[in-house]
Amino acid sequence: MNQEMESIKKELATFIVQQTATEEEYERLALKIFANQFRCNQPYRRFCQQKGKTLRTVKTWRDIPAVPINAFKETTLSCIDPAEAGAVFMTSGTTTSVRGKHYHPDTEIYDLSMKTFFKQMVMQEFEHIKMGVLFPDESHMPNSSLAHYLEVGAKAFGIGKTNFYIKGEDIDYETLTADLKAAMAADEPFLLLGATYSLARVMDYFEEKKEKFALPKGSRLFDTGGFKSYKQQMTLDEFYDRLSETFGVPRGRCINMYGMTELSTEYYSKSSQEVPAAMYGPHWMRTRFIDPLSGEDVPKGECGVIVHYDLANYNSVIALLTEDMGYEKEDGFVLLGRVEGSEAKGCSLSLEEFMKAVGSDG
Amino acid sequence: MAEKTLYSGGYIPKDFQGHYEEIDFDFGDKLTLRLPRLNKESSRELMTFLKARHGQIQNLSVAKIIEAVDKTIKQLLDKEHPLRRLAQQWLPVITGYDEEVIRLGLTRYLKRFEAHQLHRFLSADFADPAVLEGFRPGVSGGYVKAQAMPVSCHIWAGNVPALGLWSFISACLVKSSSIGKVSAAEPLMTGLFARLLAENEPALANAFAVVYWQGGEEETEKTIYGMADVVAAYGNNETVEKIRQKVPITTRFLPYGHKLSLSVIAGEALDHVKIGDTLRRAAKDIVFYDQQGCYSPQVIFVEENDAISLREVGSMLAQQLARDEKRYGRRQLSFGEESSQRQWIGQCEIEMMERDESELFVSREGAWAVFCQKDIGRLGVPGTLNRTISVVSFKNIEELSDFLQKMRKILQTAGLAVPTEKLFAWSEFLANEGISRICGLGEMTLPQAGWHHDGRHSLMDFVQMVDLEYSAEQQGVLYSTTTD
Repeated sequence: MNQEMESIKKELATFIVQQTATEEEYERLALKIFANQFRCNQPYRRFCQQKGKTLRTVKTWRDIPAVPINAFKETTLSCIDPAEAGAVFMTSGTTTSVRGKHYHPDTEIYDLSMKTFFKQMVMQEFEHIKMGVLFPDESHMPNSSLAHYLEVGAKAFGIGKTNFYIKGEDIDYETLTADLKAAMAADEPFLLLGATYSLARVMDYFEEKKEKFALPKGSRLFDTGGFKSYKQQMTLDEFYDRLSETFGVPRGRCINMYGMTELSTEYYSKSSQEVPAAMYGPHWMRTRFIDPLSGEDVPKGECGVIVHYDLANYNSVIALLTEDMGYEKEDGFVLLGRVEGSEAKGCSLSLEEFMKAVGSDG
Repeated sequence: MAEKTLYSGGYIPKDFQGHYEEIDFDFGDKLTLRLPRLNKESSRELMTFLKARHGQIQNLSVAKIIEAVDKTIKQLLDKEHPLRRLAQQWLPVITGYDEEVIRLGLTRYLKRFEAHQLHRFLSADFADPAVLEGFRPGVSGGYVKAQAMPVSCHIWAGNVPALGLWSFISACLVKSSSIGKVSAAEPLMTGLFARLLAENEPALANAFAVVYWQGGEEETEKTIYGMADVVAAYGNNETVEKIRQKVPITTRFLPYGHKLSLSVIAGEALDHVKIGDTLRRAAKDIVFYDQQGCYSPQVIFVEENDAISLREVGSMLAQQLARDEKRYGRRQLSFGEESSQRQWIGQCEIEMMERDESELFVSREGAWAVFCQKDIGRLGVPGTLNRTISVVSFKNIEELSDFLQKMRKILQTAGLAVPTEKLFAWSEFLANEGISRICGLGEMTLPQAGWHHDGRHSLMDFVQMVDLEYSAEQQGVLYSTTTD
């Protein structure tokens, strides 16, 4: 890492741990990181130049050109030589066989970002909590940012040994049941984290066994990722009702996380009392909702394509154009999922096929 | 604010006494279009009725049918005719296409069905159209007749206004009765035509129905497809596939699914005198109906030449699209369509991150986009409709082979701007690769009368050829009362 990168990294670390940031502070650091990415990252520079954006014309963080997330699949977005990256997270590659690669010089900033905001949104009043994870551990999924994320969380905030219940295709129900019962016996709060579809599988399993739990006060449940391919699609309301019923945790303490391999920071809901819940990001992140063609912000509250600005992406690109849509709500936003692509009305060919949006009540 | 208009569209055979429901389609706060809607019971009744009355159209001569269609078309070409005015008033509201595009497009299209053109339809499919009237001497002895399929079912798409007329008139010409399902995207024009045609020729008034039913209504669809003799389905592959699954194996099925069309511009069409005109025609194919037709180009192949670079061709095409946008504005896109376009532009931008020679021209409002791609091997999704296009350079004709072979199953029209000396070489090549229609650049959205849609026989598909073999004739002689 060169000197500029070192200096950015240091400044960023300070920025992340400070309580809040003013617009000016955010702007200054965003432009500094952008300038470095513009200089060090040739594909990104070319991308900017083709849009007529240069160091001179980009004056606010909103001017920073947002890269379509698919670019992580097709090109190398990294300021450092990718061969020197300390960590590479890859996308799961559901739609095509090509997997997007996100290079990190090391995971210090990623981990700091994770821990800082996880503490605030998930741990809240606790310093430590007994945890269980419905996901494979990092050794089984070395390029998964989510596996890494969960491992970091367990190390930083878990009490004792945190069990990861997924082994290959199987769920270790025995250990999971034992952990849940132990927490109840000890009357100690428990945090169960997992992919949404794994939680759905677990609920089916316990329902079949006619087993229910009443986790101690202070316990919480954490899901991420949505349904994707799980056979049993349910509405969000059904999901959280059942979740709450199965584990005896009120919906107000069910937290949803939204993350992407292409980002270094996550969004969280504060509760699942009302769904779809508003998602919140930390002060080193900004979110915009744009009109797909003009690229302008849509009026507040209207549906737009989501653009993320994540300063913790200091090595790749801070501005990301997603294929998700959402709208601003309160101080956060509601995520509506993938944009429903256009379907040609007749026999002319529209080659793309997009996943259906999970909801459309925007 | 002006009051919302209610118009009852579609067509129910004049003497049909059965009961049917109705459904309203709302187009903004301006128009409600009311259509007959079938369910299981009404579809059975209607199909039974059409089958029973097939004799009426069967007994009509082709000449009479042509006369009636021609009269109807002439009325719709008359700009003062109330139904023409109605079509011109509401089609832009229904489809979102520019008024001028509708006006011009409708006239050009309707002219395809004037009497002299209908004869061309007939000769395109029948060496001797008299086979439609009765048995005619066959070339290899015996006799042959084209027997109309009693009831043909059409599932129309709504991508292009009045699209349904093609198969509706085709079936009519060969004396097949029709039941047609209009698309919610353009439910007006075919019903309007049917109504006028029935008025003009009372013998046709019980020969067709233009209706609606909800796609996927299992019982209704099973009834109709089960009772129809032919089912012609237009739409994307997914829709057509769903219909196919419900059509019995004993019913003839005519699938018109996804297609990809393209243009070819030879170096000769790009010299400084001709290039302006060439690109005007190229743009016309893109602008008319915003590439929603199966015959609209999604990629233009440009021959490399010394006179002008690919980048310049792309830039000039972009300028032409910008000029056309001022005159013929693109229709308002849905959020999904806009997002698709954004993603396609994103893909182009990603491609450019890796390569200097690619170039993207995009209008500020996203009303059109031209992507220049030098390396044909890297051509991905060529466009996402709604005036987005890839312009790709090539040196030799053979370079197109890989792309065409990949797309073979969905190829349809090629619009050519090539000199006479190369025309047949290109045509042979494209035909060999799977293209089924070759036309001049600028004419892609207007197939000529008698067009073999997707390489099929437009008329022949609605009849069954009947062979009366020589042996029967010969043996008949044995039993004839006049035998010696």
